[in-house]
This record gives sequence, structure tokens and C-alpha cells, in this order.
Amino acid sequence: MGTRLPFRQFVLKVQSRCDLACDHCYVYEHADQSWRGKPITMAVETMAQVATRIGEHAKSQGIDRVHAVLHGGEPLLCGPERLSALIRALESGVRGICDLDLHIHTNGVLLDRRFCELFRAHDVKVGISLDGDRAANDRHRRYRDGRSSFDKVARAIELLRTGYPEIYSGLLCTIDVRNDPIAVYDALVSHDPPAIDLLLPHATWDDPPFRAGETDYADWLAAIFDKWLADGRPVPIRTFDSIISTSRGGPALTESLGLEPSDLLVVETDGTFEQADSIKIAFDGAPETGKDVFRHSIDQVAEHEGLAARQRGSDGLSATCRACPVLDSCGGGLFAHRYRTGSGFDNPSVFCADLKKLIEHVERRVSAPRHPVPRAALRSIAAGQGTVEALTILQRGQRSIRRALIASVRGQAGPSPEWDLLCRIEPAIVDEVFAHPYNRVWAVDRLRGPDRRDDGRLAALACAAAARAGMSATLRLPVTDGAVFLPTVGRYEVPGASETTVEIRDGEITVERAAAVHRVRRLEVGGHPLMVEDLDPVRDCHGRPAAGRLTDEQAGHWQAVFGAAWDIIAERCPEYLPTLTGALSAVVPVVGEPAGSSARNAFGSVALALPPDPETLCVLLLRETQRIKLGGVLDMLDLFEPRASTVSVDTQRLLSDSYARLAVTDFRRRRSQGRFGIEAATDVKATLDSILASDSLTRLGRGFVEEMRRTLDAWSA
Amino acid sequence: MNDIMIAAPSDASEVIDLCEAPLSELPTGLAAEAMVDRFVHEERKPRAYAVGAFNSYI
Repeated sequence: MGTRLPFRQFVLKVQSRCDLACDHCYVYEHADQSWRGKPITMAVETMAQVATRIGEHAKSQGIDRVHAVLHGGEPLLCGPERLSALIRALESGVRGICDLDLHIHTNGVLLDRRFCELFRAHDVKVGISLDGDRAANDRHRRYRDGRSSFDKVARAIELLRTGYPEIYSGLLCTIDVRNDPIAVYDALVSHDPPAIDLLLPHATWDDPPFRAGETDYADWLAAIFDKWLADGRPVPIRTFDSIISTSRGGPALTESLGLEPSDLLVVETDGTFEQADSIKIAFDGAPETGKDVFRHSIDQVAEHEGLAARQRGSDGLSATCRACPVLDSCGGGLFAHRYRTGSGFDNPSVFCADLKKLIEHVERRVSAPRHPVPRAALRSIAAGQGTVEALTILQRGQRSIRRALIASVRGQAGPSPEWDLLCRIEPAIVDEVFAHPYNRVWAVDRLRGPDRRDDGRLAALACAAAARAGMSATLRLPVTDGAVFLPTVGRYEVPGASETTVEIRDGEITVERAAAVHRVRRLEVGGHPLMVEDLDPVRDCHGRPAAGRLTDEQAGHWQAVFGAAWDIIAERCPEYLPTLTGALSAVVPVVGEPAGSSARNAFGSVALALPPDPETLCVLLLRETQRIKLGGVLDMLDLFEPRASTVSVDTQRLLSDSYARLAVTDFRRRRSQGRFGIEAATDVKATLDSILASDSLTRLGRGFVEEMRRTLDAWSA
Repeated sequence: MNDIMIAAPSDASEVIDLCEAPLSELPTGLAAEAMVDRFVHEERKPRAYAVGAFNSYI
């Protein structure tokens, strides 16, 4: 069976020898001895061919960014001239096809300014191996004659830290449980690295690790984890970050943990393709694929059974692993650590007990997510409507975002009586006023342009909340364009004034010198109040001009059309009603031809140029509430990989359109007793397939899109 | 709530969790920056490491 996932990580062995003789090295000190027959240094012509193969693969698979690591042996033994030629050959092969995230990993002893200048010129990030303090590092990282490498490594790190911080990528530490974990941690952190990882020493069931107890490695790592947590996580530690990520439903951040399919390929100095080289510890020749850059494309290498086996997620794991409660975070540990003669890699890790204990420790210590999104809730949203529970989750997320952004505006403005008042009001009542959809629009606008004159909205929110709470308070508010707007309450016209006093007595609002009051109207649709927002000065954010205040007659017409639309939805697809009431709290009249739109920062609001017929209104409402829900999901979960390019932005738009069409197609399908559905569903499915093929989705995102597709499949079955 | 537990979060689920606190204790410092980056400037920090990163480099 061949693999379907592309490779994005390439480990390029530019040098097969090393100047140290670390006794824990997986290249030289374990079962595989193939290094003896390899060229010492990769030829530039070989690298050029490597780059050609990577470029071909990126093009054929639509990959916009690849990660490459110059590795060894000790890559600096190549010398700066050869390394420069190798880097240039690699860059030129992929230029114009994909971005290159280039790293080098070194023991550091040869690192000097010449190398650093070269790496800075080509944006090559430099990681260094260091096992902790001097005592820890000297335990294994020595020259062949037994000399310590510590001083040279420490000097190299200092050079990077002080002279080339932009290319300093971090420290890699191999664990020895005989070292003091806190001394190791403190030593690593003292070098101010951008990231750290703590690697289990390489071992298999045939060649088990040193240990004095059953879970030495878990206990050692847990001691560091607790200190790291107490220190406020001052530096990312990949192993811990990965467990935290997977315990919250995110991706694994290292190949040694989790269920992410391996997208890693190694190229040796002679141009042969190999699997992840850590499996050298298993048996002689373990990583071989029998293929090379001169005769084979990377797509051909992908057919190799050993590589495909590492892309099967939990299906590729032993029965013991599949039944384990920490499967998602552990994923059976590093592939190489599962090996045992006879059963091959079909075993749990030789560190199984350690991994389980560590993962459970981390999960216990890290507070549970405050905004958990259960898989069932996410699936229900992806499938089309979303359950009431799922909509409540989205609403809670929006509530938190709004209040945090409003608090950030306040943070910029400094202490104020309106903020003091808000903090005295019952939080649930404050939340009701903060829930106004355009508060987030306002806060984002203020935070993007913090030097603007105070428009008084924070004070207006405090007045509206105080009135709702039945409190008494007095605040001064600026008058803007001749009026004061109190969200959820209405607009008070105060002509000719630049400031006014708002007085609240037992919940009653009085605005000094107010000449007229326009109260916020609400439509009644199926017992659900829907605010008609035709007053808020920041509502005009939908790409179409906001209409002015509706007349009473117009408002009556809106009520009639909305009431009829609600009746149609209730009759034809009643399961959509909880979605509508959960995702829709306001409508903003806009001018122009009948159409609807929504804005990511205005969760709960749809801008509408009212169509004359309720049937069209149903379509507009369903379409825009879908977009609102998807925006809510994207605020809480990463469905897309972070990318510098605009690919994700375009793909997000496609997903938003498809998700909107999902509901509209369902609505029309029901009206036509299914005749409409098949053709429209096929069209949406084609778009979803292009999104799935776009390389821009996270694992969560893929699951979301695949669930949408299943819904469409069911309609066209 | 303070900046403990929040060293430069980049995932949405961690960032949004920062927003859940009493009004008077909403985050400052790194946490507030992460939130504003995400929801105001719509910037997402790339993850510190590739997903499923090769474990013999950093």
C-alpha cells in the first residue's frame, strides 16, 4: 500500500563523520553501521539533484513550504565553503516552487563567525546539542580521546545568543537519568534558547535503556515539567508543548509523540533515500529504502512500505497502544523505540510506562481547557446545523473574546469611573450588554487605532449595564454627531453639545438635554427577539452602506417578512431553528439590492437589504448564519495551518462559501423533494475536495471538511 | 490570572482560554499580546516547531 501524504521534512546528511565520539549516538554506536560505506561529504551535484527531487515533489503535491535540516554526522565538518555551495544548490532547486525553512543541527564545537555569517546570509537556523550542565554534558559528549567538548559548545551557544540571535533556534538535550534534572534544566535555560527539546536516549526492547526503576524517565521529565510550569514556561520545550497540544485536541509537535503521519524523509551523503534515521538503532540496514535521488522521484519513494507504515495513525500501532488511554498524545512513542527482534515494530515503546506516566502527569498539571469543544459538538457543526450545545459553546467563546477585547481597550485608556462601574455590576448582566455584536467591531477598531479620540462607548456600555441591573450611577459621556448611543438601549439626540451627563436612577436612564430618543427595536420571530440594529455608529462594517433608521412602517414590514420566513423554516427544516436563534441576535438594514452579509467580528449579526419575499430571506439567513458559525469555530480552533502566504485566506473563503452552501442546498433540496440536491451537492463536494487537497488544513480542519462531505454524500446516495 | 502557563501561545484554543477571567483580572503582558495579535491583527504565529517534527534537530 502506498502513502498518500506528501513529505514536507527532509533531513539531508551532508557529512557522515563526526568530530565527537558520543557513546549514545544513534549513527555510530548502534546496530546500523552503514555510515562506514557512505561518502564522507555530500557532493554539490548530489545536493542539486536532491533539490530537484524536492522541487518536483513540492510541485506535484502542491506544497508551499518545506523544512530541510542539514544534518550529519557533524555537518560543520564540511567547512563553510562546501556548506555554502550545498545551501546554494538546495535553494536554487526549489526557488520559485516553494518556501524553504532551512535548519542545521550541530554539536557546535566548530561553530565560528564564518559559519554564522553564512547561515545568517541564507537564513539557516542553528540548533545545538547540549546535554545540560558541564557534568551532564561530559557524561557522553566527549572527543574520541575522552576530552570534554563542553567549553567549545558553550562558547558556540554564546556566539549565537549574543551575535546571531535571529538564527539561534534552540538546544537539544539527550536525557540521562543519572543527571540531576533540575541542574540540566537550569543549565539549558541559562543559555536563553528560543526552544529546547529533551530526547529520550535511543533504545529498543532488544537493547533497553539504562534504568534503576520502572519509570525513571517519566520521573526525571516530570521534575523538569513541574519546574518549567512553576517558572511560567519561560521557553518552549517541544516534548511538553506536544503533550499539551495533543491533550487539547491539537497536533503532535514531534515525531516522537502523537499520531501525526510521518512526513519525514532522509537523504544520505550518497543520495540514497532513507527512513527516519533513528531506526538505525534497530538493526543493520533498517532505514534503507533501496531508492536514491538519481533514479527515483520522491513520489516513488513514498510507495515504500516502511514509510507508508508510519502514516497510518493508530492503525499502524500495536494492539496494546490502540487500547491505551493516552494514545492520542503518545502515539506509541518514537517508531524506533518499539523494535524487538521477532515482532519488529509492532510493540509499544520500550519507554511505554514512562510515556504513559509523563503524559498523565502533564495532563493533570495543565488546567483543563476553559473552552473545550467536544468532538461531537464540532462534528455536529460540520455536518450542517450544529446542536444547541455546540452553539452554546460558540456563544461562550464569543463572550470571552468580546470581554477580553473590551478589557484591552480599557487597558489602553487607563483607570476610569466607567470601568469601575462595570466591575461592580453583576457579571451576567455586563455580559448581556457586552453581547451586542458590534462591541467586538468597536473594540477591534479601537485597538487597531489606539490614538483615536475617546468615543465614549465604554461609558455607554456601563450606563446600559447599570440600567439593566437596576442600579444608580452618573457618568459623563462625549456626544458624537449630535447623539449618544447606548448599546442595546437606543440613541439619544443631544444637539449642539460636545458632552452630556447620563444619569441612571433605579434602572431609569436620563440623558441631560436629550431632544429625542430612538429606542432599539426588536423583531419577534418564533418567540426569539431579534434586534434591529439601525442606530449603532459602528454597524457600517459589512461592505455595503448601512441604511438609516427604519421608519415605523418599514419596521413593520421587516417584522412581517421575517415572521413569514421563520414560519417557512419551521415547517421545512425545523432543526435549523436552534441554529438561527443561537447564531443570530441582530440584523442591520443595509441599502442596495436584496442580499445579506456577515462580518467575522460581528458574531450574531447579519446585514440585510431586505428581499421582498420570505423564501429569499430564508436563503439569506441560512447562508449568513452558516458563515457566522464557521467564524465562531475558527475563533476557537485552528482548522487551517498558519501560513505566511495568502493560500489559506483564499481557502478559508472557499470553505466559508461551501459551508454556507451546505445549508442553502439542504433548504432547496427539501423544497424540491431532493431533485435539486444531487447537482448542487456534487458542486460543493468538488470544492471541498480541492480544499482537502490544498495542504492548508490541520488535522481538525480535515476532519471538519470530511464531515461536511459526508453530509453531502448522504444526500446524493 | 497572570502570565503563568501562557508562554507565547499560538494555538487558538490556548489563546481563547486567556480571555476567560473576571473582568478585573483579564490578562496582561504576553497573554494580552497573543490575544490582540489573534483577534485584532488577525496574525497567527507560526508554531515553534513543524507538526510531527524530526526529533533530532531543534
